[in-house]
Amino acid sequence: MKEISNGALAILAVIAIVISIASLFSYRTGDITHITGRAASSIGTVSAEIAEVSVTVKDNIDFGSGRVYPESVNATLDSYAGTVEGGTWSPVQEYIRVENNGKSSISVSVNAGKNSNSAALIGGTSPRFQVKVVAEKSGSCRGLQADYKDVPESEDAPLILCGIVPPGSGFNVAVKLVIPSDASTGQRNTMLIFSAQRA
Amino acid sequence: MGDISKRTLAMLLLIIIILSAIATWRIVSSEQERSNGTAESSKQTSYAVFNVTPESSKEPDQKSGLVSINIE
Repeated sequence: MKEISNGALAILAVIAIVISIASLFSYRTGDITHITGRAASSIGTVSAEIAEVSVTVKDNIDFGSGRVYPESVNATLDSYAGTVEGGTWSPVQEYIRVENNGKSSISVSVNAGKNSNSAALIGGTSPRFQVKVVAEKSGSCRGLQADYKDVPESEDAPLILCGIVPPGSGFNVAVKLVIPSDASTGQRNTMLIFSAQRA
Repeated sequence: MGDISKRTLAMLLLIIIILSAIATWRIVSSEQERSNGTAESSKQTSYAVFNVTPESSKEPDQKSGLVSINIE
């Protein structure tokens, strides 16, 4: 094979240089249109539906009328057990029903209404106003308050009754009252305030 | 056409190499910029989602139940 001259090589080299320069300036980095994941502007819109937190409370508990036995220090009324000890009240077995009718799991806590803690509601020596959760089936209330506990005042930290209540589920709330013999007479009505929050 | 010197030929080849290197660098840096842009977009999207959810969760629903007793 005949050797190529230096002149021919130089021509090839010059052609290569011209092509390189041309491609160097024809490649525009800001003009990528075929494949890109980069946002075209600094503002983007993301739409998401946030399910509304919604809870229903049904039924009330009415312990009726009665008095503490003269020989008793106090009377205990339990709406879960349906018992009355130390007083003349008729036993009642009633609950307040709390249901999650929203679309997401919620936690439910409770406070007494304003000026409705045990001392303000009942009065006397060592009164008690307590609640506990009665779950009718497993899974309807996880992290439940299964034992009676004092209802916090409206300004205090709420008592968590159920950590997780799935949508469509619910639970019952029972009330226990301890009425001292030295409590003043009269009709008492108080509201239990149930707060539902996304779990 | 007369021959050129080996030195001139070497210079031309050197220029070709340099230009090729510059072009390659520009392409590679452009890919990196595109990748960064994608990552930044993902990050902003995440911010938007996390900003919305907790605020909406702070809206509690409150209902009340009545407890009554009469002390004679």
